[in-house]
Amino acid sequence: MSRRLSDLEKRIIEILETAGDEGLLQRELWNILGIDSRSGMRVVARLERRGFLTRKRVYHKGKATYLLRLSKKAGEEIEIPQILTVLPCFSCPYIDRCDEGGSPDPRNCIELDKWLRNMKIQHGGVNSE
Amino acid sequence: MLATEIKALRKLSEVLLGDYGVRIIDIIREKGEITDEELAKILGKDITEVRVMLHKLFDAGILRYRRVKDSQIGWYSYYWYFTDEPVRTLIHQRKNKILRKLEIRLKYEENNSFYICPNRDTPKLTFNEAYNNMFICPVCGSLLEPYDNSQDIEILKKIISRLKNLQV
Repeated sequence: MSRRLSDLEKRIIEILETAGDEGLLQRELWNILGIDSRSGMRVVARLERRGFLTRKRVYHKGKATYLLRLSKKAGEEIEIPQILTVLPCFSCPYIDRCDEGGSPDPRNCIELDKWLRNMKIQHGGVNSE
Repeated sequence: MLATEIKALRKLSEVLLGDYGVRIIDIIREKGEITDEELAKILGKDITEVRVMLHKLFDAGILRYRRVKDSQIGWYSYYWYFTDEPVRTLIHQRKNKILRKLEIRLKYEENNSFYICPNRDTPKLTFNEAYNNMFICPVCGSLLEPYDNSQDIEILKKIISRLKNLQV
């Protein structure tokens, strides 16, 4: 698992979320946070690498800077596909210990039996979710 | 944490724990991190039940904890907080775990022939199990009948294929 986000990283994400599609100039971000560009750059580059934000090179008052935006992926609605939630394994508390030869075992799992039976009875089998 | 991430975490917790899952997410969002004792007080539930719920959310990758030792009594307090793992990753990991279970089941269905009791809703027996029981139901003594699992195999194959193509 990846490392926990620092408070500064979380704050940057929140600020960019508020800025929306217009984004925010890098130097404006330094001003809001009260940090210098050198330490700010490091954090922003890290967030960019992790896919939280995008940087676009722009010119502001004749000087080159970066426009920061929350990445599209980060702002998109996240759906949990229904095909997953209808499977008994999705909400099964034993998902991590269920294995071949273990207890429970997917080969003779009662919940999986029930689900297969329901699929056959309710929806005529393979054409349903 | 992003609003979209929180929304998805609420949904995920709801699937796993129902209404309490949503409440736990909302409380931790407000507090940042919380001990199991505090959470039990807020939810008005027994601490053991709360710990079970927290561990389910931990197993699902939604929550993490840090341990702090009380220097005077030597006991540990557990502070629970949200993971930084993107929710998409959590869903993707869960999908892969489910895929593995379904593939094990499919292999089992394909490699065995089964027998079932015509009188009751008991789990089906493999050929070897049925043979060892002289093809008699171990519960009611009726003669076991062959079970056609071709539809189970078809369902499993279809679901596995759809999960493999699923973009989370």
